[in-house]
This record gives sequence, structure tokens and C-alpha cells, in this order.
Amino acid sequence: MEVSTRPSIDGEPILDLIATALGQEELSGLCEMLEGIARVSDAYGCILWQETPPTGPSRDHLFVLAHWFQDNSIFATHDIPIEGSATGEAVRTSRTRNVEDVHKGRIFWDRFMKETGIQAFCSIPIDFVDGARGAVNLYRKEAQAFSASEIVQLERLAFLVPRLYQTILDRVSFNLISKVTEISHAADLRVSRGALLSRAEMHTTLRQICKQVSNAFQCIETSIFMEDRLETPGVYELVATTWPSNLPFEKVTYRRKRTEGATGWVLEKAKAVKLFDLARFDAKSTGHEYPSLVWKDSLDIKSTVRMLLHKRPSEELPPLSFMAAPILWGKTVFGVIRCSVARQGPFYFAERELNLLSLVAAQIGRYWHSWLSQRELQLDLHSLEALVQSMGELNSFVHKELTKPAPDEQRILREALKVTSNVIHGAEITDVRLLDTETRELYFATTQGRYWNSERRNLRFPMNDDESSAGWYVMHTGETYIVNNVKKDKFYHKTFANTKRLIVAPLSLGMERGEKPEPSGVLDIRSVIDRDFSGSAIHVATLLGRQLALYRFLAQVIHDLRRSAAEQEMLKNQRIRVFQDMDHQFKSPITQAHARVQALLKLVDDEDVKQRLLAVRGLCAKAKRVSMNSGLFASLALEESIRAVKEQCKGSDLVKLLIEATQDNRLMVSSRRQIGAHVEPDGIEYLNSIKLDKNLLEQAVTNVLDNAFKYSYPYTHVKVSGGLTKTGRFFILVENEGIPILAGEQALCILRGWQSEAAIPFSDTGSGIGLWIVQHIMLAHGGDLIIEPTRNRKTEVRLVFPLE
Amino acid sequence: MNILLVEDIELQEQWLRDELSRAFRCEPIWIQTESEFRSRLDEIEARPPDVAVIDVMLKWADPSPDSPPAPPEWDRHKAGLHCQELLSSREKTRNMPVILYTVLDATDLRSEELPPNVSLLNKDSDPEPLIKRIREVTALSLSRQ
Repeated sequence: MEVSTRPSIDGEPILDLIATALGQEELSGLCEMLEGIARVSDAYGCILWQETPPTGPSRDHLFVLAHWFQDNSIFATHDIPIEGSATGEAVRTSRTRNVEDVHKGRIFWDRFMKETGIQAFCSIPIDFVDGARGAVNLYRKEAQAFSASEIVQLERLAFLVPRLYQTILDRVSFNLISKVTEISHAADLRVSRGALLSRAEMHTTLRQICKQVSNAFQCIETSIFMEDRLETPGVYELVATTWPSNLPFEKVTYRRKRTEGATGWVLEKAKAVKLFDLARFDAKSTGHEYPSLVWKDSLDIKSTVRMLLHKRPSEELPPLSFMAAPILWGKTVFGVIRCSVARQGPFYFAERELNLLSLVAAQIGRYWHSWLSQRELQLDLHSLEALVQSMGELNSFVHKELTKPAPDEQRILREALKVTSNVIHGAEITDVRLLDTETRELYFATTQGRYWNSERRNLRFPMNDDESSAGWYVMHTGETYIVNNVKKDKFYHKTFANTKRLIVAPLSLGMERGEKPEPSGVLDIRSVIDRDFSGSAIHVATLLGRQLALYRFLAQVIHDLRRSAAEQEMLKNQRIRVFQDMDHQFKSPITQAHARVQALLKLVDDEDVKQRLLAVRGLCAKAKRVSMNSGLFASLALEESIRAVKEQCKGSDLVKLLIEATQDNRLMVSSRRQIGAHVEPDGIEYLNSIKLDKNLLEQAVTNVLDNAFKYSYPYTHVKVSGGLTKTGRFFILVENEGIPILAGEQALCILRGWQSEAAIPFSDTGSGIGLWIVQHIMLAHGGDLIIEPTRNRKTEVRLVFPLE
Repeated sequence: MNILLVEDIELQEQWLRDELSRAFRCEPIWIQTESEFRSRLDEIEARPPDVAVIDVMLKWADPSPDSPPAPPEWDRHKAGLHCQELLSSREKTRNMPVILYTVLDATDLRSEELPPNVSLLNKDSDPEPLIKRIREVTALSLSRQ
């Protein structure tokens, strides 16, 4: 055996090797390089050995990292000890071993030699870039040793292998990162244009990344597990994988804080893991680097890989390497990406591969965070949109309910809870608690959601000063309270065992600074999912609490107003009935007094006595008029119409009525004013076909005359006349000279309660209902009250009756 | 006895005049409206009567083209009180007995705010309460003098 020292690097084979390396885009390029080296020496095959990692199951051994054979054979790892093997000796001594005849001397790998028919080999020690030791072995089937010059050549080439492999690795890393960046960038572009990716589209993107990773590492499996915090918090679901779908898969979900296998360990510890060979996993040997990591082969992975690699049961398998990196955003673990089972050399995931996988994980983490943020934002927007719409609908509902004669507060509260569940994501269990002002306890007024039962509904919460509960806090401060972790909150009362989060908002109309809060109750919103309420939830809850308080306030005000209005109406009706009753009570004695005075006037001759009796008659007439006005006013106020009982009247009787009414009214004004009065009978006394209600007519005429005398100037005349109009209607006309009625005031005169500002100082009495009553009397007859505006100081008021 | 009677309803005045003149053998001075009272205030002060009987609710004036306009916010329900205040504002009539003769309630007039020489009496179909009050207030006034 010849042993050589390290050579200088030159020559065409070296250039070929470099060219081969630089042309590689995949890790399998390592095998291409080994092929190139084998061909240089016309070898049957070439194996690149690497020392097993210190945390692997077989320390101080060598395993096949990559190989090439002329007949494309795949040889599994065969752990050969560093002590006791020719290759091991080369590694230990850093000196090439050239074995001319494998049958001579003790060669460790007997079975391999027998199976392949290898006669000779040489083993050239190398050092990998990361410091691991290894060797490049060339094998011949012929019994021909490698010559010294060949050894020199091979040593040169072997020296380059680790470095050129690093070049390939760098290129593969660069390409992988570029492709992953390109894929996620394409997705980001869509988001930036306003199109939020759906879950399916997101999973497609991650599948594309999985495929790229699998290609780069040449592994059968690349899988990504992610937690969608908005939908299924605490659950890491399989979202993408390259594992063949027809083969059994170990697990599709992992749960937070449950360490299950290597993947679960990564999720819990947020640390990356690489395992040399799953088939020979040994918790003890990995315990130092990965404490408490336990992995069980529940799916017989060796059989599966054997099938995938087409290996016979008797054949050995390459290392079933495994690596997994957490997908992080800050300290938050979004998920994990893992790779397992290289399908061709290099069969081992070293630190360099794990670092690359971690870079990919970081990209995925950034991308996932962006997507979640966009979705959260959209959820918030949707919530706000839903809130605006819901508030509009709720207001309409409340408005409709409050206009009912008996609004139902329960219906309003239930509707408000429905809105709460719609607009606050995660509001699973909601309720309104109101304050019992007598016992000073909160009780459940309305509830919504699952988990309610009669026992819970009957719970009451004291509001004494020494209490401490979320409801107590809110009632005393008037502030909304949010509990993000009920287990750690001192105020949480544990009404529901499965509540995770809670918001309690006051039913309060808001406070001015310095005011003491006086909520009438609280709105409780409970979530049973392991996910925080959105940032806007607390504000939405506060708003809903205020709306509920406002609705209750309005309902109470409306209730009080209606009750007050009903009472007022009742009182009004009572008063009006009193007026009616007074009229009835007055009518008889006044009418009798009037009649007796009339009778006395006929018996008396003394002029002085007559005048006094006329004054009494005038007072009786005024009392009768006021009494009847009160009765008519009461009837009209109760919306009872005046009924005219029409009877045939003679013109002469009407003249007498007019004369008497004129006299009575004249006596009511001061004699000092010297107001004359005259009734012109001509147009009336010979009429026979007048049909009207005499009592109502008298009332109407005396009301008009009362105004005429009251507002006449001194030394003027009030004239009463009548007749037929051109169309044959009967009319009575009252003319006077006094305080004018202006053009715009005619319509106002007949309004109830209206009095001319100009006239008030010149009147001793009056409430503005006289002409209003005259108007209704004329309406009852089907006639008209016509008031002409004053012209040349003369005012005319005409009562026109229909043809009968 | 000189009695000033401020009353806007003539029938009421006629009846009162008859009763008072019978009781006190005098012819009361009659003033009918607040504007008339104001225009004759100097005359009243020049020869103050022994007592004034004033209706609280009065017209401002009788309708006439020459009637003076009423002050803004003039109130019929307080016209008599204005007359009483005018009397109180004049030196010679400040302490003159005044009887507010009215249908209005004492609470409507805030009787507790009236000066000591002013008293309130509700109108009645019986003239005796008024006659009796006039005797009381004039006797009291004389004793003070």
C-alpha cells in the first residue's frame, strides 16, 4: 500500500470536477461529482463517507453520505467503525489507504465486498467545511490496485469535494430562498392590490414552498403545520405536504403545549431539531441536545421507506434523516416545517441544511403573519360594517317596539344580544344583567348562547362595597372591563367553567367628568375559544352598553309620558265634564230668573224699576250666555259636534229675539259711552220659512253683539238687520263702528282663544272663544259666519243660514 | 266721608254707589279705567279721599279713536294694583286706606306683600262686609292721625 501526502491542485480532471460542481442546481450534484471522480480512475463506484454526528445513534462510526456506482446501485448506510476498518484508519490518520486486495487482511465491510464483487479500493480522508471528518472511497471490481499516480490524482479531486459541495449547497440555498421569496412575493402582491388570499389559496402557496424545499433537499417529505389563530387557535394543522398521499401519515394536527414526537417538541420549545436516523432514534443519546424529546415509530417508517426506495428486506436503508424548524414571528410559534427521508444522496441533514430550512421558516413566518394581520384587519372591518348595519336595524327594531302601546323590554334586550354575537367575533355566551335596586344585586335579565340552564340563570351577584367581581367593578367604576385570561383574573366569578375570555360593559349613558357612574346593569360577553378578542371588541361592547342604556331610558320616558298623558287626558275630560255639568246646573235657574224678570217687566210701570229690572234681565242674559258658551266649549273640546235642532221660526219671533238680545247687551256697557242700538225689522219680520235652532241662534247673535258693544267707540250705533241674500239665504247682519278688524285678522277671529292684541286693553272680560263658538253654530246649521274687514271704521259680521 | 270707587262695570258701580251712599251718606267718586285713574291722579292727590275701593281687574280704557295706547305687557289682572301703587307713590296718598275689592283669590295677589294700609276683600252680593271694612280702615286712619 502506498500512502501519499496532500497533493497540489491542477490538471484537467480538476477543471472537469469544478465545472461539474458549478453546473449543479441540486444537492444530488454531489453524486455527479463522485461520478466524475470515479470515472477519472475508471472505478466501479465512489462513496463519500462522513463521520456520524456526536448526537447520532452510532458514534465513532462512518456512514454513507453520498455515492455513485456504475450500475446505479443504491447502497444503504453501513455503519463502519472508525476503529477497526480501513476507511476508519484513513479518517483517523488523515492518510490515504490503498487496499489492493480486499480478500487479503481483515476488511470490515465483508458483505458489501461479496455482494458487489469489489476487489480493490482506496480511501482518501477529507475534512468537511463544518469540521466533520470523512473519506472519499473509490472501488474496483478488478483485482487492480490504484496506482500511485492515480492516488495522487484522486487525492487532489477528493480534496475539492467538500468545498465544491459547499458551493453546490450555497447555490441550492440561494435558489431555494429566491424561489420561496418569489412565491410569497407573488402572494403579497395580490394582497397589496386588495385581494385577501383565501385559506385554500394560502395552502396552495405553502404547497408550492413545500415542493421547492423537497426538491432542494431531495427529501421525500416536506410538511408544514400551521396554526390559524383566527379560526382554530391552539391547533397546528397540516396545511401542505409532499408525502405521497397513498401512504399513511402519522399525524395531521398537533396541539399547543402537548409535546408529541419531534414535531411537537419543536412546536413547544420553538427550537429546531435534526435527527440523524429515525430508525435508530435513541432518546438517551439525543437527550443532551434535545431534552425530553421522545419519538416513536408508530407507522413503521422503515417499511415505508424500504418500499419507496425499492429496497429488499435484507438490504439496509440509508439514514432516515429528519429535521424540523419552528415558524416564528418574534416569540410566537406560528407552526413548523419539517423534512424527512432523503431519497438520494446526500442522505444526511447537517447543520447547514437545518440553517437553510430555518431561513425558509422565517420567510414563511413573515408571510403568515402578514396574512393573519390582513385577515384580522378585515375581520375588524367586517365587524364594524356589521356593527353599523346592525345598529341601524336595531334602532329600527327599538323604534318599532317603543311605538307599541306596551313595549316589551325583553324583546329589545334579546335583539341587542343577537347584534352583539354578530358583530363581536367570539361572543359565544352573552347576557344582560340588571340591577335589582331593592336588594342591590345584579340578576340575569336576558341570556343568549349555549350552556345556560336554570341554575345559572338564577344566580345573583351582590353589589356590596366589600364584594369583588367583574360586575361589581364595572358597576362601581362605570368602565368596561376585559378579562383576557379568566384563570389569572381575580375578578372572574366562574359562572361558566369553559369561559376563556370575558368583556363586561356597563349599561350607562356615559359620564361627564366628576360625575358618579350609575349604570343600570352590565352587558357580559364571553368567549370559549382560545383566541383574544379583536382590538375593537372592547369599544364595540362599550357602545352597545350605552345603546342599551339609552333604549331603557327612552322606554321609561315614553312609559312615563304616556301615563302622564293618560292622566292629563283623564283630568282634562273631568274638567270638561265639570263645565258641561255647570252649564246644565246653571241653565235651569238662569233661564227661570230670566223668564221671571220678563214677566215682572210686563207688570211694572215705574220707569226706574223697569230700568233696574232690565239691568237684571241683562245680567241674567249674560250669565245664560256665558253658561251656554261653557257648555258648548266643553262639548267641542270633547270633540262632540254641536247638533242644531231646527224648527220652523216666524220672522216676527226672530225680530223679538234680536231686539231683546240687543237690549240686554247694550245694558252691559257703560252708559257714559253713549252707544246706541237699533234693530231693523224690515227684512225679517215677514219671513215665514226660516228653519233654525232658536237657542243656538240666540247664542250666536249674543256672542256677536257682545263683541260689537264691547269694542264700539263712544257715541256710535250698533245696528242689527237681516233679510235674504241674492241666492235666497237668510242672514242676520250686525254692524258697528269701533276697534277695527284688519284684513288678515278675519281668519284669526274664529280661532279658539285668539284675541286681537289691539282689543285686549279695552275689554274687561273675554277668553277668545265667542266667535269660535259662533263658527261652530253656523257649521251645525250648514251656514256661514262672514266677517268683513273694517272699512271706514265700520265692521260687518254676517250670519248666513242655508235655504230650508 | 269721601270714597273713591274704581270699578269698570257700570252695573256693579251703580249698585255699590247706591249701597255706599246709603251707608255713608256720600256720593263716591267713580273712576272706570286705569288710564282714567292715571289722568286724574293729581286731582286725587290734591283732595285725597278717606278711602279708595279699587277693583283689581280693570280695563285700560274705553274703546275710542283717542284712547291712549296701553303700555307694553299691560295686564288686566293687575290694573287695580297699578292704581294702588300709584297712590302709594304719592306723598299725600301714601298712607290712604285702600281696599282691593275683587273676585280674585288672596294667593293670586300675594296679599303678604301689600303695604299695611292696603287690605283685600272678596266681592260679595252682600254689601255689608265692604261697609264694615270701610268703617274699620277709616277709623284706624283717623286714630293714627
